[in-house]
Amino acid sequence: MKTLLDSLHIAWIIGTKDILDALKNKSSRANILIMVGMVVFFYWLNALRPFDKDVSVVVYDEGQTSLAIEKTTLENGTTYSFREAASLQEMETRMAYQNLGLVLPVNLDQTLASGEAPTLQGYIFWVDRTRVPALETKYNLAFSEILRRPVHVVLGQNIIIPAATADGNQSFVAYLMVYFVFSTALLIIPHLMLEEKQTKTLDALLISPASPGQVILGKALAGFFYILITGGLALALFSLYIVHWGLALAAFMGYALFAIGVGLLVGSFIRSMKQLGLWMVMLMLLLAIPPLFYMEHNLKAGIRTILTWFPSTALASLLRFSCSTGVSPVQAWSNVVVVVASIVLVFGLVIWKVRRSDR
Amino acid sequence: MKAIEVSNLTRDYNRLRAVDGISFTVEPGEIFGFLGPNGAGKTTTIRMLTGQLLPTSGSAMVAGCNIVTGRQSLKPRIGVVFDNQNIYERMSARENLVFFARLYRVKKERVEEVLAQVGMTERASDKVQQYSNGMKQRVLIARALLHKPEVLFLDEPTRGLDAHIARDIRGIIAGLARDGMTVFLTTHYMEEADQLSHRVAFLDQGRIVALDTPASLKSGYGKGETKTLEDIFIQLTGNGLQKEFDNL
Repeated sequence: MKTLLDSLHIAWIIGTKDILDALKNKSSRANILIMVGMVVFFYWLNALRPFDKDVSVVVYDEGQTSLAIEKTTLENGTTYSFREAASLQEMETRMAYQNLGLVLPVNLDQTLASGEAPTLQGYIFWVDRTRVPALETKYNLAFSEILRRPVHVVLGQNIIIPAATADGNQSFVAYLMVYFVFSTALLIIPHLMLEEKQTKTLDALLISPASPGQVILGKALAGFFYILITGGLALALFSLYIVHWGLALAAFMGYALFAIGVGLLVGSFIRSMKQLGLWMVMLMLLLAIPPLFYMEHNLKAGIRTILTWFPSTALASLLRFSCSTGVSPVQAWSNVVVVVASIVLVFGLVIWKVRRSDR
Repeated sequence: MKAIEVSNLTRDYNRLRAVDGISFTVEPGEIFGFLGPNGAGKTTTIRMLTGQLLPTSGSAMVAGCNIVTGRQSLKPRIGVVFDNQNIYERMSARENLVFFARLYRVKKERVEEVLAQVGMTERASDKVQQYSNGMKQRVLIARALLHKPEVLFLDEPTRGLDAHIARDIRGIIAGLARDGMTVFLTTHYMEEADQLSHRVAFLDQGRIVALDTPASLKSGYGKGETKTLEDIFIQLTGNGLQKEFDNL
């Protein structure tokens, strides 16, 4: 117990030194600011949708009514387009990347004939759950204009949690997290090791009571701090997508640990900034492309299976599951195994490398 | 107990034998000069004796600790001033020393003591990147002294320093030995070794070719003539360099 506390104490001392030292470094500060800017930019683009003037609606016509709803541009410039679904289940499935699901009730024709204002059940995604009153008002006005008569769109408790296998923004958010966390890790963490090697201060550290493992733990702590700034900010901004917080936090820790390990590994092997640039590009491609391709459902099953072996794909899947429902334990555990094995592998390699240079 | 006890220490790098079965002892409180031309194996020996490098064969005890099996207990007993100025440049001297004081679990008051000891109190808050080489060297010595080590390893501590600062550093080293610290010193300056060391060892191609007090070496190899330590050093070492030169 004492040894563990001693190790944590030494790692904490090294970690805090690295955090403060990196903050004094102009290029580290610039990298952090760039990454924070990227997170905020993608949030603005994805969640606030500043340029989005279109609303896509999936319509399930329960009673095969005579009403024909067509693509309409409202007076405020917003265009509403419609896709049909044959059942409520299909409507939910087809709602990926759409804004609203709408059910036309069985008695809609009679209600319209009687001149009463019809009530339509609207369905929105989990991420929009805090905006129900505002969305109801918006859709009431919009559909009243589209149908040229007063209409009530009721959202109430019609909140859809995306299925684990469904497409949608939750997949994109999980992918963005891969990008944010690994970019931060590769932009900042290798410098923590590279500088110590280039200035030979690593020798001074290793001659002190700090062991190679404690030095690495210290660097990992500093790396976690920087990942917390960008990845944590992203997690907070996109928090409305999250359904299972336990899984989301576990996935985030997985992202952080694996990214830190990769960052330290790069820092342990490379010898110059030039090499770092080259490795960064190669690793970003290797980490970012598999989860991007995995989002494409038309890929051959064999290729999709291979993509699941990539830790970045497994991490993105775990985060996507935390924003979904109906996750199969087998799916979740297979991803957990890939992530844990990858973390153990990269940290094992880092410790091996530092020990080797140490002796 | 000897401060350093080395027995048949050898280190190979692939096919190259950098250190070839050296044996010697260093008494507590002694300044031991370890001299040799470039590539003779001085730094490799220091790296082995400080636990940074595993020997290929042989053994050594430093401050009572085995350099292979007792490495962790060796660490707080030794101080090292490396042959490069490995110091955190964006931090001040004080911040550097406080960081290492925390690692060694040394009280912060000790930081001020060692800063005063090396004459760096006034500039201690300035960033290291603003320091001259001499000032950096003082900070490195202060860092090595923080935890009051039993044995201090100095790898070319005055290299590249002007005469004034080099003299100051030599004064610090002599003072440490007077206070009972064992100093293992490598240097290319024979005058410095002559002035500071109680005994010197000449290393050539990984082997010790002479080991004695500077006075005995000068009288023993002088053969009636007045020779300097540098004359003896040139006479006994540099065989490897000469062979390389002859082969050109």
